Amino acid sequence: MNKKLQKRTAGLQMLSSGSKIGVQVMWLVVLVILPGIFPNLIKLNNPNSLAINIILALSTSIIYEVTKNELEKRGKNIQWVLKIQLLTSVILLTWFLHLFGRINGPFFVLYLLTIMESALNLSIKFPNIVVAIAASATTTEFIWLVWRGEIIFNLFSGLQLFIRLVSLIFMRSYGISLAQKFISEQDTRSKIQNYAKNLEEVTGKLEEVNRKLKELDKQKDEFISMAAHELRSPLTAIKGYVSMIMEGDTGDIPQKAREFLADASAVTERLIRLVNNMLNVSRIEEGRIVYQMEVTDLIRVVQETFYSERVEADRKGLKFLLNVPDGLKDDVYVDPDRIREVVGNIVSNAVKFTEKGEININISNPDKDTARVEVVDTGPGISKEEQKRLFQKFYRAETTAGKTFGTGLGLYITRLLIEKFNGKIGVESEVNKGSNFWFELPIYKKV
Amino acid sequence: MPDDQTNVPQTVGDSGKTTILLVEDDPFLVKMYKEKFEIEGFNVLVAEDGVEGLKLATQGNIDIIILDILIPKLSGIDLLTRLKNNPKAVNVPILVLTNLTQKEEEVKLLPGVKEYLVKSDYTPSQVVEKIRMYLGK
Repeated sequence: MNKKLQKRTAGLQMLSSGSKIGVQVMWLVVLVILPGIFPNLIKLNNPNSLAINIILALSTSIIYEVTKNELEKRGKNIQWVLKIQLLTSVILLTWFLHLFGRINGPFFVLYLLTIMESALNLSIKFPNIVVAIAASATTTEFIWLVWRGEIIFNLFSGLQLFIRLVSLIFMRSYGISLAQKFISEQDTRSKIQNYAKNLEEVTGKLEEVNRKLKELDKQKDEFISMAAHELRSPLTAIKGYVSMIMEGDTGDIPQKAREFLADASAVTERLIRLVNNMLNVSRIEEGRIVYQMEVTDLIRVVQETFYSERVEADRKGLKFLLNVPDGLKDDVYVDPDRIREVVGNIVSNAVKFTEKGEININISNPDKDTARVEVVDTGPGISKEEQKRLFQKFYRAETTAGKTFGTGLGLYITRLLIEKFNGKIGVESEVNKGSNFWFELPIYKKV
Repeated sequence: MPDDQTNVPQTVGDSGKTTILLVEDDPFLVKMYKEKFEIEGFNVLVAEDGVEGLKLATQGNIDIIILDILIPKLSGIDLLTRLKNNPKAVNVPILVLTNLTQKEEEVKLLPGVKEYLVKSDYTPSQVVEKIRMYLGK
């Protein structure tokens, strides 16, 4: 807002916003008491009436402000359009007022001048009081009366004129402040509306993206499970036929063929494991697995695994030992099937990778709240570099066994499951000496 | 499902052999299982879709059903729900043999289902072992 306007309206703003009682008193005086005393003032068909003057003062001020604001917003290039708009509005207003009564000529002309002065960026600025006085037709009337010497004899006319002049100045200033308020409110409102609209658009877009992502996620899930299903069918046939031939369902086969079939069978098994693990990983990662949590005897799970893996360990001539301290009882709160998977994975890895020496499975309680299972082997060992990446997705150890059997997902799944059950998993190892794969789970406490 | 064996499987057919109903739509697997089951001395009936499977299952001379889940016309799950109310099939043990893994929890709860086997985890002879186990032979 320009300084001139602020100066012009400062006094009034003190009245209007600084003191609400002041404004109310003013309105009471202007609209109730004065018209009561001087009924002529509010007659719309009297061009000199207060009401007409107020309407004119307010409307022109508002038009003036709105137009000025528009000009400031749009820049100077299209000012002429607005100037035409402004003049058109004033002419329309004049016409509207004319319908009520005769328009006050001089008043109108001077108001028009004030507006144009600003709109056309004229350098001449009429002071407020000059505009107001000059604007009022009463001035003419006043001069005329003074000229005729009647003012001296007609106190009533004099008072009336005075009130009209004051109210006119007052109302014009008030009109300007009203217009300013209106414009700034409009601005804020339109800004808020813009923000709200933008926000709505952004929210809408995000919702759309979210919906698409969910849809994609679903499609991916469906794809993975269908792919797994489709891959398993031919694998079942290969595995089945190979096993039937090896079991002698087609009669005797040469030793060499048996050897080849054993290899075919091993890689088929690996492929099946890979398909299963991929499906498992996607289900675990996305939290789509339903865990059947129950209090589980960890020692028993380890014992079961120990007995089932002993066959293979014996075949390889390994010393295979399970060490459980007397009286140890480790109940953990897990999904028993999943923990069987974990223990099975770690123990079978040890058996797979160890060619000679021994495997020790130790169960212990490092503290009263923790159960620890260690699988210590005398296998090839794992370098520090490899240890870091061992529990990551699709990482396979750089050994013959790793390349032959691994899917690169087993230890990753193991880690996900142990972490799911609030446990920890790790490895300590030295190349050519062996490895110690361990995990810890919190012991279940009865509440 | 508990593995208790309350029903004594009836042996029907001319040869007195145990009859297996194999509901399976993959022709390679149909051939493989049929061959294996016959080598093992079973009589094998094959249904390549759910509707045919339901028809054969309810005709009354079946000792055990080997059922796939993803089959045409009528899914294995729908077939199981329809068998539930059929007096001729109510005591027939069912082994679900499928490569669909994610329906396990749901299917295991259906009546008659003794076990849910993922095909690729079992060789034909291991399936035969399971069949023998549920037939009590």
